[in-house]
Amino acid sequence: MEASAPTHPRIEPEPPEWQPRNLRVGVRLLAGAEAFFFVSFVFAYFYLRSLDLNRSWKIGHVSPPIGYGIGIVVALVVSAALLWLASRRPQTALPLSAGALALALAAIVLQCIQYTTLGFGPGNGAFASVFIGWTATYTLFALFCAYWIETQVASLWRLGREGVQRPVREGVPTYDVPLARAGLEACSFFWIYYAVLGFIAFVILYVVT
Amino acid sequence: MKEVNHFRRFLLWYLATTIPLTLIVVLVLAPGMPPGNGTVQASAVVADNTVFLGVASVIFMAVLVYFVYSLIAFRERNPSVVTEGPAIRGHPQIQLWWIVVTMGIVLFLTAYGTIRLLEGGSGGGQGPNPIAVPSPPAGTKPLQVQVIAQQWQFTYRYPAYGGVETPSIEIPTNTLVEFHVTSLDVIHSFWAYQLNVKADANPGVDNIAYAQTKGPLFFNVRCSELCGLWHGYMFNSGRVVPRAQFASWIALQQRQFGAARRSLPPYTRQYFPTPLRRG
Amino acid sequence: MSAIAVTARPQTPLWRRLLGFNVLTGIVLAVGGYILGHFIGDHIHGSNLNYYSAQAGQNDIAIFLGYLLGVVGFLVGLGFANYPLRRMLGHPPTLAEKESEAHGTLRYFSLSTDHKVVAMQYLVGIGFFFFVGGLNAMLIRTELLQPNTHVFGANQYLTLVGMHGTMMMGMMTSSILGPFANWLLPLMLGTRRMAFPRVEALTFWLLMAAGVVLITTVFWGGFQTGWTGYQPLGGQGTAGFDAYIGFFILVGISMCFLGFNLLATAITMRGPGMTWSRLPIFIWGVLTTAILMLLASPMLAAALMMAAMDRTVQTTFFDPGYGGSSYLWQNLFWVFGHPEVYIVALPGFGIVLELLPVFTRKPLWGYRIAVAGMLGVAFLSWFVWQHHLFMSGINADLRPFYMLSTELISIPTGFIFLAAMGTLWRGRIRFTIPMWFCIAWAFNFLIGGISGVFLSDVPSDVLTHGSFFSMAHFHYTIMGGLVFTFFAAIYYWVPRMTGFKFNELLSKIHFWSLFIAFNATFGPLFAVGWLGQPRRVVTYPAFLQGLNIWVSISAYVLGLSMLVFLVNVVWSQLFKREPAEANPWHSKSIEFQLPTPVPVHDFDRLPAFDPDPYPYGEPVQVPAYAGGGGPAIASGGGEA
Repeated sequence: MEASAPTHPRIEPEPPEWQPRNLRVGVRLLAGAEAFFFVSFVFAYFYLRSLDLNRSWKIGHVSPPIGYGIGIVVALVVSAALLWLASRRPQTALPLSAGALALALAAIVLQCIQYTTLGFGPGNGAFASVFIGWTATYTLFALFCAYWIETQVASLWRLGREGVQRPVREGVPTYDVPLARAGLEACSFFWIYYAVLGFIAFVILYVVT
Repeated sequence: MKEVNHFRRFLLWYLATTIPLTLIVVLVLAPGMPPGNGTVQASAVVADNTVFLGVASVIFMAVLVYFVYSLIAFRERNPSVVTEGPAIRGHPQIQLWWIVVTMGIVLFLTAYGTIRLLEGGSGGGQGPNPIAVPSPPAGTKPLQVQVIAQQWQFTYRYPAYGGVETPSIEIPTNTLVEFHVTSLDVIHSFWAYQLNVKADANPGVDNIAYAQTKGPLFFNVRCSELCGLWHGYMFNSGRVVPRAQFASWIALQQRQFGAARRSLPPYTRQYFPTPLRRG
Repeated sequence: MSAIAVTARPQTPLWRRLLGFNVLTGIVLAVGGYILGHFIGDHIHGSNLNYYSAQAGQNDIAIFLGYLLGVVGFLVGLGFANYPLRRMLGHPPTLAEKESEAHGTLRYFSLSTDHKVVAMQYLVGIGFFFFVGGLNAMLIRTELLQPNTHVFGANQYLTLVGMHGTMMMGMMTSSILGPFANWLLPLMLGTRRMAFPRVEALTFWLLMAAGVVLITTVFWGGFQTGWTGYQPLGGQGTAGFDAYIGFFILVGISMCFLGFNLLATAITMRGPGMTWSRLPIFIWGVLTTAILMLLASPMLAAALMMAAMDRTVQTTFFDPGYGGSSYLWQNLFWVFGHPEVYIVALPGFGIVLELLPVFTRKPLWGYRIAVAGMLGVAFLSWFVWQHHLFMSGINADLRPFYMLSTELISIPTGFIFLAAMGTLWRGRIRFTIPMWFCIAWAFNFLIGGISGVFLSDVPSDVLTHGSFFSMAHFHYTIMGGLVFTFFAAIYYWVPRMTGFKFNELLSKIHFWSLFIAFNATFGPLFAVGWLGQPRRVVTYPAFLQGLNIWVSISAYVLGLSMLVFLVNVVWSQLFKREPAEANPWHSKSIEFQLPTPVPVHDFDRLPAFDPDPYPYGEPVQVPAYAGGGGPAIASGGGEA
């Protein structure tokens, strides 16, 4: 936002609780959309498995290395837990959310390393396709989540450095603490939810097979 | 101004227009509807369409006459002045009756459709495990014909005749024909128009449809699912012929294509040709 | 909370302003991004080339990366990256209620978060692609003048069919929610903005990028699959199919976020007194659509990502030889595709029921049952998708269930008709152009709905499935249902949005020629389908030529009618401008009580709402939209 002129005297501001509530509502709507995205992969998994066309559910020896799987899912769950704690404890929010970010990035990196050591390719039957498609799109969205967590970490860091009462400068809006807190809560809600989706993916892709 | 009973007027208009129209539709128009009476399935769809056209004209006219009547009777006669209408916000009884009537129509249509579907599959593709299997005419056995669709032609295999694969199709009269439709590449759809058979051909899937032939008949076959560049040219035709003629035809096919048959894969319900895409 | 930026800007020369973040910069960066992506893709293709694309000398990875970076470059050039980057550096979250990177006319060509500006952008942008799609239809009908190929080859013909369908189903989905919901929802709810204004702008620009991506398919040889993109046929296609995938992914993201934004706004930002049971019925039409958009389009995106992975990294989701299935695509596509059909129909219901009370001078008859109808349609639309697969051999045992669920949808749809018919009864009906379009909607949708019986019933569907009958059916519901209400909304609200009225005579010519030509075009197609012409064929039996010529000529008249509309818009909105009256329809809805033009901040005070959304037929002239401390409606222009 550029130079903000003084508010017009006639114009009544909107209720301050609207935007925090928007964040809470919006993040739940996004969670719904996300669920429908991954339902497609769950459907593909069970559908192709039940059809087993040309006996090609798995061609050759297809079993993803479970060590990486456990590593990824542990990183995700711990990261989500840290972010949840961060949203609950404003005093230690910065180190907690920074830890959550580091673990989220670690999960993404682990997934990328796993791709190089899979032992099978995407063409090795339907399971291989679902595995790679599901984990790849999951990782892609995890990257967006990591960006989101990063904005929270950066906000907390800048807030801690400059404080709420920093001097008002031209063109730089001040912190709105309830809004910032709602933002962190929304982010942690979504990240916890996303970690649960990751856990479901882990169970289906590594355990059920 | 004298109070007019609008509802009675609407009802008179409705009955005066709908009764003749529905009679014309059901008695004159519908029996001549495509796809004719070549097979039991074709006759069935003509009968179904007669019922639906009758129901459709009754419903269509109800709404249409209502709209025409309202627009004429309730038009603003002096548009230069804005006059407010009566503030009616609903009528629980009418709403209830509307729900009851539409629900009744819907349940009737569904029940009718389901019964007709289960009677004999109605010519549609039923997948590998059909539930609606028509019984063959007394003293005959069903004839299996496999329809193999590929870009961009149909070929046919007759498992009862050594799995011979023919480029054209003939089937005997007064026979229950069991079509096994499958594809070698993309999704096609086998539409034998005068037989009233339509079944999608999916790769790796055995899709079964039935047609019970009556007398001799010429029929067109078209692909009715977009299958690529020459989809528009993917058609051929076939004949329903008397049994003796069919026997000589299939014998000719066996002589003609017997040699080619040896290089074909053995007859199965579905085929998985080596895909082109991977080297 | 930030204040609304009502600021005076220093005058800068035009060339300086063109260098900022606007669509020009966006296009430059889009081209640069595309070239970069293609360059990277060319260096990582390795052995991952799709067989068919390799034959055509095309590299799908390079093209996908090109599209990706091109779109990213476009958005960066428009200024969408500025705020996310500031947030990454920890700057505080800000609202962008009326933020714009440019001013004056230029703000329509740049990122603007004023909901009224976005609405106008949507209207013009979607209108443009609507005409592109319509032109495709004219070319299709030209080819079908003769039973054999004569103008276009099979490939061009199928590409035209595919582009027409894809453009219309992708773009026109947002044709009411984009312009009209974005413009009206904040006003009708009594707020000044959407919940997430930057997201609102993003949905529009993504849609524009998508349209361009789809048009680029002609450079890669087009695609042969139609808008349904059935696999594994799509997997065979040249890179033209990549454009289809790119288009629909972008449209899917845009639709998802459009629905998300509308829902969040309506859930949170309703002004005092605006309870759920007082929402204008148009808002209900928008919200039920938004639910479907939010939840259905992610499934499309997922299916498209599978298709894209099949084409690039050699997964085998749809390849039966390697364990995939052609049914998988059909299922995922239609689980999206059937709600999509109602995404297209529901806003039309909302508009018709919103407009009828105005022109009958009566309150909406049966408000609750109309809302129940919309919710019922939205709910049931999730359980009908396999009626697209009645003949495919999938789940044949479930066909009676899908027959039931499909026909059940006609009950909530019937509620809409009941509400419309009840509103007409004993009204004082005023025949204006928008009213004519609403009446035409009822006629068209009635035919569309009744013809649906022949498709939803499995035995009669054997004859009609995949034929021109089904094509006529969905043109009656979609074109007759959506496009007619789209025009009703244009004639009703656009004078309010722009401040200039339409030419009355041209509007009348447009309506009557459109209505007659529409029915002359699509009515005979029912017969064509029954007589055995499948959809999307370039050849047909010679005995159908007479009917096809009739349809083609009617289609040209329909096209001319659209030209009349175009002339009307250009003439009355750009050249011969006549100021519109503030409230030409004597509407009692809030958007007509605001000053002209509607001030940037919409309201001085946030309005409180009268108990009744439809005070027609009551002595009250205009409901008092009173805020806490005085009248809510701005008294004057309100610009600082």
